[in-house]
Amino acid sequence: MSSAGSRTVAQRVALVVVAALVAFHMFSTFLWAAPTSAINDKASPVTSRHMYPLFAQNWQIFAPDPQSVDLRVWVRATTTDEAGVESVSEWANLGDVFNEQVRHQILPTRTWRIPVSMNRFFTTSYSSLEGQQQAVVHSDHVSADGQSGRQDLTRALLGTGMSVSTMDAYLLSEDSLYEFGTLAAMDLWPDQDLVAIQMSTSTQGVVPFEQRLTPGIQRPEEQFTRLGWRDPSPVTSQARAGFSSVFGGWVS
Amino acid sequence: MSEDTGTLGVRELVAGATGWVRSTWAAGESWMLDSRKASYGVAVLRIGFGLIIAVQLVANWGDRSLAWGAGRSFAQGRVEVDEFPSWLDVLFDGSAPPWTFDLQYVALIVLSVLLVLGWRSRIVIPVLFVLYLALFRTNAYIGDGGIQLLRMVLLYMLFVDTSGRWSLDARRRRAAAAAGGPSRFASWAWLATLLHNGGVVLIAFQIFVVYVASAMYKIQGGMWQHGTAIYYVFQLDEFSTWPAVTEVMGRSGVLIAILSYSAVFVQLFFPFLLLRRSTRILALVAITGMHLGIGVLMGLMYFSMTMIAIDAIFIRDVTYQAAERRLAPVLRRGWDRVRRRPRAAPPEPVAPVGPDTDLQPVGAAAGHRTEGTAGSGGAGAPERPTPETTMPAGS
Repeated sequence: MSSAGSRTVAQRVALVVVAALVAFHMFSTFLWAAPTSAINDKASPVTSRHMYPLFAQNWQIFAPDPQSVDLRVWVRATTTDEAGVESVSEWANLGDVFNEQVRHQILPTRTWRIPVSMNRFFTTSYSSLEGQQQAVVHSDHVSADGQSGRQDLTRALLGTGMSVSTMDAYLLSEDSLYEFGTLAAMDLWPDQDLVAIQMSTSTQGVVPFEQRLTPGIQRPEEQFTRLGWRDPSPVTSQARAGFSSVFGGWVS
Repeated sequence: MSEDTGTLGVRELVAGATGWVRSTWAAGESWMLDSRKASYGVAVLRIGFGLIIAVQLVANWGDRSLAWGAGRSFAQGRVEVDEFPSWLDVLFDGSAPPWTFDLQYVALIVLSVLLVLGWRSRIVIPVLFVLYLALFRTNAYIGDGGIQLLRMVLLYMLFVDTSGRWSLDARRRRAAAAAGGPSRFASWAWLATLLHNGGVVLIAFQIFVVYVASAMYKIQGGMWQHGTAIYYVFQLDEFSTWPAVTEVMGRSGVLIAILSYSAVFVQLFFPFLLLRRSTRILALVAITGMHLGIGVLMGLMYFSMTMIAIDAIFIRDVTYQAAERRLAPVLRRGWDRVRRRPRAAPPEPVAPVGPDTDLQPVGAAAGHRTEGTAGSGGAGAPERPTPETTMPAGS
């Protein structure tokens, strides 16, 4: 009882309130971060509202198993040179360009994981397409004026019976991918005029652990998801300048 | 007779139980209200976070316009990342003139330097938090757990007295106390202490969740169970920052298994290893090594440094004090020399400052703590400096 006299009522009340809030936050944090459980099912209507968005977190780091495929983004372009001669470029691996920037760097650029993240984002939205819709995005949608190709694409997608909202959700990721590719192509083939852009994502597995010492062992073949040709994405001069001032330096 | 003993037994049991509850409650009250816990640890956390943000923004200066500036247009409005308030979009606006972006970017660097110095931390932290949040949400393709973690811990730091030690704020408070006149807030210092300790508990728990939850996921995976997971991580383009090194490491199955298993176990048992001093040193050394390895070999340096900075709160104040006692005179001598040099014309020979400033490994300084050191301080110099020097304890 010796300590009882040394605390005021206000101190005791504040202590209880703070302890309760801290305990509630700790409980909510654990439930949010841990694998799902029956406790989570019961409590999450309350705890999740408390956690989102400020304390949203995900600690599934290299787990349950680390990803064991490389995720890549590729671009190629149809261009015309000064003489007006049209040609199709080689495929360029954008992931390589970014990875090259962090090789042997202790303090790497934050931009380096953009292609991998973009592959993930696009692949998630592409996988939600049905077979017929996937066929549409694999086919070419280009126009002579360089602008109405996208209308052609949306018409074709809606023609499959796709709802506008599902289509819009998909197009967010495709637009992002093609704008990234367009900006990159402008720097990759700087002396040419862009006529059309084609994007592809790919995955490639690695040599299994057990076979790593086998002489002459090759990685499994790379699997491509090759989309159709599109008109170059419209980009503002400001966006072009911002992208090019960095990426242009890498590829020149 | 037997009934008597029974009654007595129950009564004793009840008395024992209430006694235990009472003493536990008193210990809890004392822990939360009597002193600010990890006062040096949170100062190191503050300095660490400031350095991480500053270094990262400076290192990314050349790439800023693609990462977060006007060149991020391919990410803008495409990826739904969070539901933070839309007024944040006003900051780091990609379509505004580039100089306004640069101005905000530089402001964020300046704020993080102020965080390192501990200048007006109670104001700097919330402003820094908002700018940091706004910058990193402009491009959802750039992001990792380290960004989330730093953001959340910055939020907890709003409640913590992070500049009680090793800061300009602490110096100012000392000067004010020396000038006499109690602080206006003196009678509320207990509340600040309570909030501080609550915040410290949240930071500690947050890092426990990171480690334990990630271990809970890992132990479900076959690659971690068979000790091959690290090999697979090393194979990816994305994490091949030093391909020649990881290629050699990947050849040794035993090394890969040791690294994979220790990553899982150190994370899973981290909170429990902290309970005893000997295992705490082991845990902190092992986990710091793990973070540095991940940071260097896989290009995840900012994430790793964030974790290391947070783990710094688990080193006890006495250890930091011992380190301070050893380093302060050396640093002061060096500083005096630097300061004197411009005034005194004759150039002095360069003093051997380097060899003296040997940094102590974690825990080593605590081991060095002896009665002799305290005794030589004279007049029973207390091991723990009175927290009253920074802010008078209330009541």
